[in-house]
Amino acid sequence: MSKFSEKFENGLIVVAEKVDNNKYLGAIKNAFTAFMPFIIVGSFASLFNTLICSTSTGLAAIVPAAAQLAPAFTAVNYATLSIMALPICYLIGLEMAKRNKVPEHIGAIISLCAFICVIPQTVSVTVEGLAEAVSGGGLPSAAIGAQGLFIAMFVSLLISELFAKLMKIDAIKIKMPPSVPTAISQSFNTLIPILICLLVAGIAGQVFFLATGTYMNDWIYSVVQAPLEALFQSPVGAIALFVAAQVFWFLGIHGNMIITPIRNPLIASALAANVAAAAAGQVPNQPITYGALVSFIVVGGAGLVLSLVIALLLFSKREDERSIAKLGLLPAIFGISEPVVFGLPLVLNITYAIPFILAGGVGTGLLLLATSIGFVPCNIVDVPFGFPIGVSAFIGHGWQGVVLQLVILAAGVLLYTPFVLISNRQYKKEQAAKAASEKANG
Amino acid sequence: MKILLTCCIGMSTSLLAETMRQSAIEQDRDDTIDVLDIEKAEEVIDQYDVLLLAPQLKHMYKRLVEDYGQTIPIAMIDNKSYGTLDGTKVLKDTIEMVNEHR
Repeated sequence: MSKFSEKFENGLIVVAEKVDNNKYLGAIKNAFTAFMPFIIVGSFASLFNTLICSTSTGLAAIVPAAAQLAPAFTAVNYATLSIMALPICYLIGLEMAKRNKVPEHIGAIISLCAFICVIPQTVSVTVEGLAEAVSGGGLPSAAIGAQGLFIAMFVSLLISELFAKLMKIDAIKIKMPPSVPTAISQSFNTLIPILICLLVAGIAGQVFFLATGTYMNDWIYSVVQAPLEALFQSPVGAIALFVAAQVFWFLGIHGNMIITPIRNPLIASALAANVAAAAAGQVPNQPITYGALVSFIVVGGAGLVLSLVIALLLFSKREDERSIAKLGLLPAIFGISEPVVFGLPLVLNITYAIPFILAGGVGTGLLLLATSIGFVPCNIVDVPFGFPIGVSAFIGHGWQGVVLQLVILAAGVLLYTPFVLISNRQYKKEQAAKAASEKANG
Repeated sequence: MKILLTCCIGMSTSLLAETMRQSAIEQDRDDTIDVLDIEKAEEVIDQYDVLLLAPQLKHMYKRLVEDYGQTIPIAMIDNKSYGTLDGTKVLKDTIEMVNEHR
C-alpha cells in the first residue's frame, strides 16, 4: 500500500476511535439506541390507525364502530413520537451520569428538569374571533416533540457536565454527622448541585429570552436543527454521509455505527415530521427515516452486498468467490453483510473498492429520486432492522417500496458486475503467471 | 469456558457463535458462548472469561483493552474466520489465547 493510502487509513481509524471514545457522542448514540423501540412502536400505532380505524382502507369500512378506537392509537403515537425530546433528554442525562460516575437517576432527572426550565411552560393558541392569542399552562409540542431534540441534547449534555463538576466540590456538600446512614447523607449531598444546575438553566433560559425575544428552543431549532435536517434530507448531504459510512466499511470498521450519533437524531425527527404531516392531512415529505434506511439504503447489507452476491453467483468464475457468495446469500437477504465483507473480503480489496463505496449512494440516490417524483411515499411506519427483503419495504412503503427495493438491488448488480468480470480476469492472469513460473522452475 | 462475543447489534456475530457452539459440542467441550451488542456487553463483561470483538469493531479495541484489559482477556476475531464463519478456528484460537493469558 502506498504511503498516502496508509496515512488515510490510519487517519480514518483515529476518527472512528475518537467518535467511539467521545463521551458526548457516545451518550447521544446510546440514548437513541435505547429509545429506538419506542419510535418503531409509535409509528406502528399509525399503521393500526390505517388498518383498523380508517373508513376507506381499514376495518372500519366493514365495522364502523372500529373508527372509535382512533384516539387510542393517536394517543400511543403522541406518547412516543410527539414528546420524544423528553425521554431523549432523560436518557442522555442517564448516560452522561454513568460516564461521569455520579448518581444516575438524579443526573437524568436534572437534565429533564433543566430542559423544561429553558422551554416555554405555556402554550398559546389563536382562537377565531379573538384578536390576540390566548395562552394557558402546558408544554408546547414544538418544544417537546422532534423539533426540540437538539435543544434537549444540548441542555442535557451541558447540565450533566455542570452537575458532575459540582458533585466533585466538597465545600458545597451538606455535612452530616457520621451516625447518619450514608444513603441519607448522599441524598443531601445532591441538593445544592441540583439547585445550582436548575437555577443556571432557568436563568440562562430567561436571559436568552429577554436578550433575543425568542425562546432558546426555537432559536436552536432554526439555527442548528432545521439546516442540518435539510442537509441530511438533500441528495448531496445524504449521499455524502452514506458514502462516508462505506469508506469506513472498506477499512473494516462498522461505518453506520460511526455515523449513528449524527444520523439517529435526524432520522427520528424525520419520522416524527412525517407522522405529524399525515395526522394534519398533509403529504409526508421526509424521505430518509430509519425504515427507509433499512429498506433502501443498506438493503441486502451495507454496500448493497446482496447485489454483489447475485453478481458473483451469475458471473464469477472464481470458486473462492462463489463459495463466499453462497455462504453470504442468506444473511444478506436479512441485511447482514459481514460474511461477504470479511470473507471475500471487501475490506481493503482494491478490485471492489469503487462499487462497494459508491453503493452507499446508490440506494440513497434512488430513494430520493423515487420520493421526489412521488412514486414512493415517505413512510410513517418504521421497520426494525432484520426483516427480509420485500417484507421491510412493504410494511414501511407499500408495494411501491418493494418495487424500489428491487430496482436498487438490480442497480447494485449492474454496478458490481464489471468489477466481478475484472476479478475474473485478474484471477486468470494470476493463474497463468503461476503456471508459467511453475513451468520455469520445474 | 465462558466466551462473550460482541458486535454492533449482535446479529452477524450470532451466526459465528452458532458455528462455535457446534464445534464445542463436537469436541465434547462445555463452553458457554453468548452474543451481546456492545453496550450490553460492557455491562456484564466481568461474568465472562474472555471477550471476542467482531472485526468491524476494531476502532473500539484500544478503548476496551484500556477499560477492561486488567479484568479479562480481549481479542479481535480475525477477518477471514469471521467472514467464513469458521467457528472451529475461532474457538481453538480463543482457548489458546486464554491459556496463554493465564
